[in-house]
Amino acid sequence: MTQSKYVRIIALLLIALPLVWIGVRIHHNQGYVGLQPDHQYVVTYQMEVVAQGPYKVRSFLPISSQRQKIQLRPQEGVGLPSILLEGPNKVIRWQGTGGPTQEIQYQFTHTGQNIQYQLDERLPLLATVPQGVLTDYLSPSEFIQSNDPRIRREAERLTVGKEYLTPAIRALFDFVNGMASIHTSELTDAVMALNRLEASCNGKSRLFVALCRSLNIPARVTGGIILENITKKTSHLWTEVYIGDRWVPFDPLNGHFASLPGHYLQLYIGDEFLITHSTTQAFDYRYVIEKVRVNDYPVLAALNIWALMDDANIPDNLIRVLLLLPIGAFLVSLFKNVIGLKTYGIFLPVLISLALTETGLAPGLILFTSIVGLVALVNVPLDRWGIQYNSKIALLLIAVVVVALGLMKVLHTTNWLHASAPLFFPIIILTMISEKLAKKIEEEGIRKASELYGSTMLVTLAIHFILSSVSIQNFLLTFPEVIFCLAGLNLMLGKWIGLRVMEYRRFYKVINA
Amino acid sequence: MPKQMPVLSKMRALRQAVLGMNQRNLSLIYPHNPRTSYRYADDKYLAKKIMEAEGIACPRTYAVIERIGDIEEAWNTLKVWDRLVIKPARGSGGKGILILRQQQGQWFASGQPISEYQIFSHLANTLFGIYSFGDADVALVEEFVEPHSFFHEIYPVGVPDFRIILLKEVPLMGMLRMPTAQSGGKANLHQGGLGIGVDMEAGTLKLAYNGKQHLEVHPDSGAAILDKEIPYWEELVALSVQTAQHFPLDYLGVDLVIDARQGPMVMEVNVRPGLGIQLANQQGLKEILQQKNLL
Repeated sequence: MTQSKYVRIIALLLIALPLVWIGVRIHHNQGYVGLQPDHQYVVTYQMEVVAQGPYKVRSFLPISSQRQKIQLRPQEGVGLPSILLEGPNKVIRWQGTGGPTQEIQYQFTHTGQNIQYQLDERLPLLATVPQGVLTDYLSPSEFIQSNDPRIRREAERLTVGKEYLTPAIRALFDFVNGMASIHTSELTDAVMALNRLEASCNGKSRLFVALCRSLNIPARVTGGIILENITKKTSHLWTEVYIGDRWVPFDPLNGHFASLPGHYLQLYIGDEFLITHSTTQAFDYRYVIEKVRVNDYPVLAALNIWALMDDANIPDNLIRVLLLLPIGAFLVSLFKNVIGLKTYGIFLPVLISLALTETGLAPGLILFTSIVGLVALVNVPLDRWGIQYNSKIALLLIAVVVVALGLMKVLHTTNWLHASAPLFFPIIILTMISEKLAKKIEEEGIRKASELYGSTMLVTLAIHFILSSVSIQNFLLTFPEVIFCLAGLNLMLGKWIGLRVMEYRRFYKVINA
Repeated sequence: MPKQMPVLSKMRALRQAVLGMNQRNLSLIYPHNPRTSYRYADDKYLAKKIMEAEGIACPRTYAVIERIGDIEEAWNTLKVWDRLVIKPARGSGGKGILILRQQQGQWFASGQPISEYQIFSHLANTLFGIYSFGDADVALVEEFVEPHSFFHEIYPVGVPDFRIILLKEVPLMGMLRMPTAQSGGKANLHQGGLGIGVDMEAGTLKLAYNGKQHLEVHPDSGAAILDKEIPYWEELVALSVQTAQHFPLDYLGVDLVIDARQGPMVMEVNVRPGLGIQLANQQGLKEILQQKNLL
């Protein structure tokens, strides 16, 4: 009995000490526990104006949206700016009376998320022309000459025979994206871009929008800054197309189709200039961008994984998986010993749930089930012929590899799932589970075997949802001490003698009601 | 007493009475059965050696075949028997067990004629480890146990047996495992067999449990089960205690049969006896362990 007491004390220490340590670290560090994305950007507009008389400067401030969270940090500086909403944009204006060099500064933080839209492939191309506000995004403008005959002809040529909206947009996008890219600060309009068949971001964006508009697809350019940890002057222009009932981003310069990376800072919508100012003697500006780790707790960190990943150039996915494995294994034993769900093996649900983050949930499950099912079938004749166990496993492994290669070939021709998806599954585990499944079917029938398969997948899914939480991953990367807490929890669980939840059901009839 | 127990008090009652998997492993198997002793139960050949050395009644061993080259020679000595049973020493779940019967020089297995060549290849397969996860194995050839008429009165097909679970040589609970039409001759609970509780004091049968409900009669034969008296019950219990005394395992399940002529015999010893026996008896093991001050 004293042994149990020792174990309990060790377990409690393992759980408590790291938590205390984490508390101390939080106390001694400046950062805050921001869990969602692991970093944010601090952007500062810096401008210097030399003007004899009164002057005006106009620019834009970003607006928070689904994909970017903005926090404005107004600072003391020259002239209190006025901030007004104008249409879809937030406009900031500074006014001054002139004099020696005047410094203007404005700061905000940006936390962005990657976004990827699933486009409906079956929307008709020639729907009724949208009415209302959207008509603004159909008419030609100074630099977006969507009524130009060359633009019209090109748009029609590119979409000939296309009945549906998404394929048509894809054709236009591929054309513009495929044009040569050049770096120029010169203003390029849509027609110029088409004539030269080369352009920078602004030419390509205007051309793509013009092509869309000429086919009565509402489209607009939008501008901002691609955030990186530097000071820069260049801004960026990309586009948005109205599909279904929402504006979907497209960057024809950098090839983002219906998607946008998290470090794109969107500042304004429409064919605008990011900074305009009245006549001055001298004007200079720059965007100072600083990438800040949200989860940075360097003080008292025995192992600062974030810093290690930066310094040693270790891919963060690798470390994420490494840290997630123990959590996954703990969850599986929790499901098995406390809930009483049975699974094929302990590691299988963990490894499969991690693989599912690469393949996507539904395709991954279908793929996994079909591989395991097919290979389990192979086991039937092998058992009937009395093939020895070791040789049988080697044969099943061959079957798994053949099925995986076959699926890669099949998937290569469809767009349903990436062809490499079968490789994300741990092949050895696939072999083992196929054999176990086949054995279970033989010994206890297809019903029992499917039940066990079902509960394995249930556990896999539950673990998948927990492990794919970026918050949990970032917390682990910031506070890897948690691993010791897990060790303590495992020790406690390993000494737990209570009835499993499912056993209440199983043994229900033991007691006469 | 209300007819239907409220769920929470029922759960409490279950917690107090029933032995769950976690507690079985942590409180009984791990502390009482040293890992190194598992082999005495998992290997039927080793178990057999202990039983024979200690004079525990068990089916007579006709031959132990360890090498392919020995098959033919061994077979020549085995041909004199009319009935025999071939078992892989380390097989599990009844896999690879072949029951043979001879009639005027022709051998039969489950009613079908079988050639000597087929018997040889079965023996060779056994030695190769087909029935024991690929590890080389040993084939045990034993006397056929003719089930006592007691079993046939209930259901005349298949291989029924008793299981008695003991801790520190104290018998805790017993069960009769009986095949059904659905279980295809096998007596395992999860294969559709019946688990019939045993009144340890009275030596009589309790209700039969088929995995869903408790029955008073055998579902196929209609033979009465409840309160049926078990012949040789005291000998069966004594035999299980004797077995427990001589195996280096403190928590074990002893599987027994009654031979028509020779009486009770031990068939097998199990280190991790299942918990379904509680359902067959409608009684919790935890409760019994506490009553006997063993927990």
